[in-house]
This record gives sequence, structure tokens and C-alpha cells, in this order.
Amino acid sequence: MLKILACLVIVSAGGICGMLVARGYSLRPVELRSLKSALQMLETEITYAATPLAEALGLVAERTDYRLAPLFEETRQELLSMSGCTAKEAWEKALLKFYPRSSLVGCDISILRSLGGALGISDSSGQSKHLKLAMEQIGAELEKAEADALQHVKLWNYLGFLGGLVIVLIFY
Amino acid sequence: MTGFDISIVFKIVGLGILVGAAQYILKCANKEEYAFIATLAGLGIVLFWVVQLLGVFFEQVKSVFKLF
Repeated sequence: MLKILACLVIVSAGGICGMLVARGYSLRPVELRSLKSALQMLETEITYAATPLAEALGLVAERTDYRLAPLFEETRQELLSMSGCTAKEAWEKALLKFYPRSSLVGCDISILRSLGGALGISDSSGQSKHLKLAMEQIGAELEKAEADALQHVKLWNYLGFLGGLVIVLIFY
Repeated sequence: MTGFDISIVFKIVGLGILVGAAQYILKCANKEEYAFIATLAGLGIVLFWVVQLLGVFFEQVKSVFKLF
């Protein structure tokens, strides 16, 4: 009885591990897509409404996906705290906090990091160019991530359970 | 045939089925090299079990014919 219970635990643990890996793959395109629209919003705020950066970030944080909101919200609070850091430093700090909780990978973060260097230092058209560049790069990453997700989500869902079953079978 | 445990046969069959499924899934995901590694690992595990049984078999043959 105990043996069967342990087997069930091992198989479900393997399945859950596989599902967690698959979840990372399936969430990345979702986050990239909302990141792209969030940057689009930020660009609109900067170029057409000429909103100050902190306010614009707050507006974007309110409207964007709840997974991405902390990035913009924390940058805004860092800017408003008057600690004397530049927009780039605030952006980078928020990015470091945001990174472990998101499903984004290194190259997405490096796109965002290079965007941070352009935030709030030039006129609106310069910033808009940098935002457009970042959006384009994220769009390319999005296509790759979607193809990846299509391949890997099913694979890892099955592979986790299979791994658990194999472990049970070997040690039974 | 005393002491021969029939469950080893079912274990080998089960592992064969699982390895087959893993290979199919990995092939579908365009990961032929991992499919090959999975097959090889399955083969290794089964060989490990079978070699143990063969060892027992040879011991019995030796004891029956009083070799050595």
C-alpha cells in the first residue's frame, strides 16, 4: 500500500516538474506580447501626450498585464522617491527585481536593459526611436518564442510524467 | 527454474513501452539526438538487469556441472 502511494507521489512529482517547465515556455510568448503592447503604450504617452516619464510609467503599469505591471510600477516609484538615480538606474533596479519572477530569458532582458539607457535622456522623437527598436526586437523574439512554445509545451508535459514512470519502474 | 521472478519480464516490457513513447515524443519535437540517448539509456538499464540474471544463470550452470 505504502509502495503504491510512493509510486503515485513520484509520478505526480515528475508530472508537476514537467508542467512547470512547460509553463515557462507557454508564458514567455504571453509576456512578450503584453510587453510589446506596454512599450507601445509608453511610446504613445511619450510622443503624443508628452507625459513626464514617471507619470507615463504609472499609466502603463495601470493598463498593462498584471505580470508586467511591477516592472513599470517599481521604476516609477524609484523615480518618484527622489533618491537621485537616473531613469536608467531606476529601470535597471526594477528589471533586476522583475527578472526572477518572470518567464523572460536573458536576451529579452538585454533588450529591455539597452532600452533603459535611452529612457528619459533625449527628446521624445529619440526615445520613440529607441522604443520602436525595442518593440521590433521583442517582436522577433516573440516569433521565436511562439515556435519554441509550440514544440516544447507538449514535449515537457509528456516527458515529466514519463520520467516519473520510468523512475518508478526502475526502482519497483 | 526455482527463484526466477517473472516480474522482471513485466519490468522490461514496461520500460520498453515507456522508452518507445519517449522516443516518439522526442522525435515529434525534432530532438532526434535526445531520442537516441533515451533509447540508449533504456537499453543500458535493461542490459543491467539482464546481465545480473545471466550471472545467476552461469553460477547455476557451474554448480550443476561441478565446473571448477
